[in-house]
Amino acid sequence: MSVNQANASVHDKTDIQLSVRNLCVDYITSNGDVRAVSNVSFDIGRGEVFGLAGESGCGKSTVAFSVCRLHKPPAFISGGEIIFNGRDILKFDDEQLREYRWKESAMVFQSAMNSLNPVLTLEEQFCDVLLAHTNMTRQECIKRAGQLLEVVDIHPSRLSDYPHQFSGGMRQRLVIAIALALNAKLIIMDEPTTALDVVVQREILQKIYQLKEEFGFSILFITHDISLMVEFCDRIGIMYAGELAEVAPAKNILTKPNHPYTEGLGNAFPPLHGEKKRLVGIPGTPLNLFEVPVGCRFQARCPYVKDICRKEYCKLTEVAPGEFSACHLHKDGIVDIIALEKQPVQG
Amino acid sequence: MSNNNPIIEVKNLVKDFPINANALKKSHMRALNDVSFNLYKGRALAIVGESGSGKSTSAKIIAKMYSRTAGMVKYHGRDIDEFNHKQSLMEYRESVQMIFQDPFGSLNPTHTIFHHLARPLLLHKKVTSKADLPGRIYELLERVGLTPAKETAEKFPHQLSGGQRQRVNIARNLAVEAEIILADEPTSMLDVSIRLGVLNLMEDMKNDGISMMYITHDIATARYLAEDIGVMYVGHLVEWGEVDEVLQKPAHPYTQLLMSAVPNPEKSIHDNLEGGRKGEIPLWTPESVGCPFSGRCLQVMDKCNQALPEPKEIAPNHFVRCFLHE
Repeated sequence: MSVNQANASVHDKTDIQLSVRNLCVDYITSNGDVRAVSNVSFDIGRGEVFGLAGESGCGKSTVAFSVCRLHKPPAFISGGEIIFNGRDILKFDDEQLREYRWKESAMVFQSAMNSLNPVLTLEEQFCDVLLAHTNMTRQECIKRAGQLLEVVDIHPSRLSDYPHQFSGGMRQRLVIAIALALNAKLIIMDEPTTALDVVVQREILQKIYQLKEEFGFSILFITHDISLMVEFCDRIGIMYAGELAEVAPAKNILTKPNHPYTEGLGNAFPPLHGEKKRLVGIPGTPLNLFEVPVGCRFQARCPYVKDICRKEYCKLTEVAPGEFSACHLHKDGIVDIIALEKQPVQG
Repeated sequence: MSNNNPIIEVKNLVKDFPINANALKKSHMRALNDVSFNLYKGRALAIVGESGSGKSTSAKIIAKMYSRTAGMVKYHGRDIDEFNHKQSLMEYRESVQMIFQDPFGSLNPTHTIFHHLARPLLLHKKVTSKADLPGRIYELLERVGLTPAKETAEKFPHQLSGGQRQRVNIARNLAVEAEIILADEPTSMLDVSIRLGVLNLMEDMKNDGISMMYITHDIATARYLAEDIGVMYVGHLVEWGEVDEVLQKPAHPYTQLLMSAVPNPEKSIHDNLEGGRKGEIPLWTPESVGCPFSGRCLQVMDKCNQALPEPKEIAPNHFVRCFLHE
């Protein structure tokens, strides 16, 4: 089964908000081109929370940037399609792109706390967005900005304040409010709560979920914290070295991993309960994308590596309904990876 | 609690920082208020709490990077203020070492790894002749898992990954044969798959007899590494004791709130927070009275706004500062 057919079968076709097909993103460097994202395909349904997890440098943020077409040289999208509501955004001209951004899909950046302009009041920053993308008058914009602040539990009287007068958690909520300003159908959140305390993090995620239920947008959620992702997302894609290693329902990721890398990631988080035992995580270091081997990209760190892994590339295939894995272990039917015996990994 | 004597004894520590001060008016914020804890040989104390709760301040006072406003810090029974002459200060600094959060900022980008390890070895006279230097440095690098050691030593910090750089920092602590390591969020900037390697290295050092203070906001790794845990809120140590006892039976409402907020795959994002509600974190000043958590606590009583509760031992090696447990 090809990747395309396999992924599309997750949803009823009419219910897909975003469909990424064989996306490739290259970076041009003085040492040659690097393929940071390689043949990534996934779908996000309407109102669905889809998570992308992986280590830094695995390409998860690069995918997020592609969905908004925010890449600037030396990065460029070298192949694939990004279908949003039936239209390929990679074919958009500048004017279509301007219409698409923020109205159709909005982004909350990694350092959201610092993405507000420190020398402008909030009123200015909200009006900036609303005036640029709509035909509202300034008075209407201020009214809308007040409504948006109320949505994220901040009093509208604070519109005349500057960003430094807010706490980190409030600034994060402000950035989310600005992202919601034009009722986007897809919100991309790149590590939206990484810099925050756990209590504030949970409050914000609960708020986001509540807003999602109210307005019905989809979320592409990116983080490296698997525990958090399992709680928050409906489905999760695990990325390694620019490729999707596994896509599965969130509840299966830790209990029934279908890729050795997913199992390793799960083992890298010490538990909060139960017996304390020494964990090893994933031996070795992440792949250098200048030295992509023949075969599977995870072979050097995989405890189950076989000869075939060093020779043949493994495509992301559906191993069980709704579960996709790019691993040769499932060649002859699905295998329970946790039960397999591990081989020592060299290096 | 360990029955041998503490290496570091912190008693009723208070630290005030000036804020908005000018020639006419002086105001202070209280970063630490009446904080007491001990560090023992071969044990790790994890300090958890949100940013701004005073975790790093307490470590920096022990490291003599800040002076204290009131209270006592003792090293093997001697007040650390006694170590203020060139020789004795050098000896104290040799025993008490820090690991910082940012592994890039804490290494000099213009020098090789060899230089970074040679400096403390020479300064603290851990090698007698320069001829012994390479051998000792390679030995240290191998001990922290940076092999091949000779090639690593020739590299510059930018040629190493975050995890490798943090290992160089740990090798520097080992170079001066530190007795106490104050690790201030040593793994928060590292990748998940690299993080465990650094934690396991710290665990090995602890098992070799080093006393450790592990500052973090990640409760799961605190449990992984430490025997004891202290929970801080707005400059107060609100609950402390043996790590599993505190985490499985949290007694202070703030600890309960923290535990209910920790990402946990067995829970759902919709589960309610326990113990407290959202609210602004108060600015604590020397004039503030009462319990710092009273504004957010679900079980707040009148007396919580009038006085700070005294610490109470509610189970062996489990202390809490809350009127609910009086």
